[in-house]
Amino acid sequence: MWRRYGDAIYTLVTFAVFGFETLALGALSISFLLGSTTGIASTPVEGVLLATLTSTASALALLGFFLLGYHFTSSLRDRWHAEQLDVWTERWIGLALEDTPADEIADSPTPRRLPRAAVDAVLSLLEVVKGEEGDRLKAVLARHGVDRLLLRHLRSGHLTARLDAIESLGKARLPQAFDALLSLLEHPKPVVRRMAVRAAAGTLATMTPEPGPEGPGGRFIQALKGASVQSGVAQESLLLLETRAGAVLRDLLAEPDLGDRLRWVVLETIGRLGLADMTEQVAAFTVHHDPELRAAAFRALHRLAAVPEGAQASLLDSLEHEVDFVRVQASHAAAFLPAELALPALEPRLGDDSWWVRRAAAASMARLGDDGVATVKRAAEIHPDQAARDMAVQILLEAGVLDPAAARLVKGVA
Amino acid sequence: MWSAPLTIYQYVLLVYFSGLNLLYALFCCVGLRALVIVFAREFSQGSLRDLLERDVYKPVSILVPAYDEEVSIVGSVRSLLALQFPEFEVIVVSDGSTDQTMGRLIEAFALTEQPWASRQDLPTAAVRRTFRSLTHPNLVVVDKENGGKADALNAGLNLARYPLFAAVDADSMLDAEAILRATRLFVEDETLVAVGGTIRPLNGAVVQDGRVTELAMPKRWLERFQILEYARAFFTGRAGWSHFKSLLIISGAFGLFRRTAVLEAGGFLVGTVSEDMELVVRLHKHFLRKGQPYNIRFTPDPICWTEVPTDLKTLRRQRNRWHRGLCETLWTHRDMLFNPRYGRLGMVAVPYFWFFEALSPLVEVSGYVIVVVGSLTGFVSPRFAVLFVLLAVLYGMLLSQLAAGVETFLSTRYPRMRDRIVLLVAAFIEFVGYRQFLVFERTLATFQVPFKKGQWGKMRRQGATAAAASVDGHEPVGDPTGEPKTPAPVCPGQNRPTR
Repeated sequence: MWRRYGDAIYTLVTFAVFGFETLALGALSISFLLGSTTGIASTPVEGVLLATLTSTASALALLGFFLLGYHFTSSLRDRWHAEQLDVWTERWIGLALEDTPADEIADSPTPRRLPRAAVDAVLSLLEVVKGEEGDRLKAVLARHGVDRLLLRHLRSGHLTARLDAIESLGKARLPQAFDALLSLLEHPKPVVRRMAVRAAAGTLATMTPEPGPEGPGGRFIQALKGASVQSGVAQESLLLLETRAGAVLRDLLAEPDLGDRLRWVVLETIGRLGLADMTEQVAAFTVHHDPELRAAAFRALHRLAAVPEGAQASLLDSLEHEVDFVRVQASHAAAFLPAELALPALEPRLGDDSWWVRRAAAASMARLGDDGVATVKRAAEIHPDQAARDMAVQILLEAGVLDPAAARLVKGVA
Repeated sequence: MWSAPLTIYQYVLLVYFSGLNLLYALFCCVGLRALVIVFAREFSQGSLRDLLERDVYKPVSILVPAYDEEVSIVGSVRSLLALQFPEFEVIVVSDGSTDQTMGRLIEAFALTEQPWASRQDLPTAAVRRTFRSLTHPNLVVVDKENGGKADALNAGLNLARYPLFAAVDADSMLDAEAILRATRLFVEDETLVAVGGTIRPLNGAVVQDGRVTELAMPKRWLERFQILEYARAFFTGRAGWSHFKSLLIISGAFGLFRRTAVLEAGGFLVGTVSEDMELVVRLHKHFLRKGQPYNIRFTPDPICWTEVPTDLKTLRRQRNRWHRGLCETLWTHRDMLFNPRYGRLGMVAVPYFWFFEALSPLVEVSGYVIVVVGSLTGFVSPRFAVLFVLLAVLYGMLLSQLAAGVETFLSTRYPRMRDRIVLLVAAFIEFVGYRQFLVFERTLATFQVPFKKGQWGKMRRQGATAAAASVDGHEPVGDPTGEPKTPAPVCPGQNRPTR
């Protein structure tokens, strides 16, 4: 969406222009005030006005020339970069598919600085290429010193350079950058923390597993616990762990001092990743006193499409919970209870005060086989509560059990 | 006898001028640094792909209020249905349309009427019928009694199922990734309740399959001036306010909101022509009163394209309405003015909008009067007056160029060098007539506020989004020779390019 070159210079030009203009306008305002004794249109005031005018015209000319120049050069550069990108992508693909071991590539002589297009091409490929081919491409980066350059930029005082480096390292997933990225989780700027945690997670996903708190997974957990990142960002980083996610999530849940916010994130992530082997750990939270955690546990179970026997009683209890979002999530999860248990508990929920509970209950019932559909159909016709009847019709329509004409008829009958 | 007060007023004008321009300069610098540089890097294609692949996104309900939009509605809905986002629903609310809006929708999307178990979170005018599309399961169309744009949005909210909702004008087109980019912000910030995107003029653009594929400078100067105005408003003004957590306007053409937050605040206010700004101000007020952390942001990246007026009459009506809307909202929430309870909003943002936006046309007109009368009577030196007016013009041009400059960094920019030069020239000649014309209309609107409350006025439409919908594409939109098929009264959004 954005051209990433020249924007920092443009910002500097803008700062310079307006810094100067601020001084000019300030001088003008002061001279106006002082001019009250000699008359506002006196020669000294007019002189300052003329000077301000000249400086503004110069600033405008500078900005205009910069923009025209940038427009011209960026058009040329974009075209050239696109061509070079194609050439280099082809070359890197060839290298990735060769039989040369990654170590040999990294150690081979004649290192030279790669052009920008070559680095962009290899980084783009690294986003999709993994395994041995990916290692060979990483070796290219090491051979040409790109990894060292990126790590140097990571410590740069310039925000743009630092953000670019984090993004590149996120794509490259270089193990040697892992700890440097983790250290940025304490950075005062939220944007740096957000990008760093995502890049670190992506890197961890490709690293060789090492158990224990000193291993990369353990270091990641400690850094995440201490980092000030929003739940959404933490969740995204855990999802980026891919095949390593299960082990990290298990270790995270085992942390004795894990905060409720991160627990919530872990439960959400387990559900989203569909880690069925962690169903029991999730089920333990269905009796948690915190409604947020309890609801998260039910949501995870719903996504895992399983309710362990040990959690059935708490689920049925939670259908009557005082907090509506707990009832909603419990109703969703109830679709995975045996029908004979779920239907009698869900049917009263059709008359719940909350529209969301009614909807979740009806949707779950419709998923509970023929008996469930029949119960919803019956509710659509004879449930004493109008809202329950409407919701039942709605769900039957969405499930394709009723067609619109039949639905109108049912509504008429009801 | 008049000499002393006039002298004092002159000083007031000069300080006003300096203060206003310094503020603009500050917003420009802050907006550029805080938003463009950071945003361009954080929201890379890779990060967006991660969002989709890892399933972290939040689903969105897109609400499209429509009143007599037969010209553009099908194209607009098609472009929305083609958005790159995994889970969303489009809810079109026909607000008692008197033309073929419903007929066109029924035909184009194979709509079938069906009962609907909607919530009654917000009171609205009666809903007549609800339809679902047989071809697009995520399209819902509501046909209701006329109640105004805010009422239509509230009716849509009653049906919305997802945690986020986007309010989109029926005459606007979203970039394919607009929703994706905007929702990412909600993933990253739990306190975020609303996000406004950038609105850019669609006139002159080439569209293919409901997407803007190339920009070209429109032929009319009127449209070119508006390109500059939109750039100034979005790339500098709103970016700056957003950085200071004091954003008061999110354009009705495209804004993304947290549904529960808006419901908590009471939904859209019916009976105002500025329901978008009013809602944002009310959201601020609501959360500040509760003492609950919240955030309302502008982002430069999610881009919405809208057709800007091509004739003076329509432009005049639009700006009149925008200014009345601004005044209405400020008056409704006048208790916030210099009220320390509302923090920087009460002490800075709201006073700014009162003095530098709502009252600015009056100040500007009085400035012109003083310059002319003072020069004629010898009270002001003509040489001084000319120099001062020239300074104001140059400063305005500087700001315009700066804003238009941000646009050069976007991948979808005006590609030809000639267009860039035209924008430079437009920045100069907009000060000769165009600006005075708008100031006059806004002055008029200031006095009309008590008498035209809630009146939208009619707007002529070229049918840009209808052209955008053409599947074979390559139609230049807003061609000057093209007249609208039906000059229709509409309830268009508030793409207000004020700062």
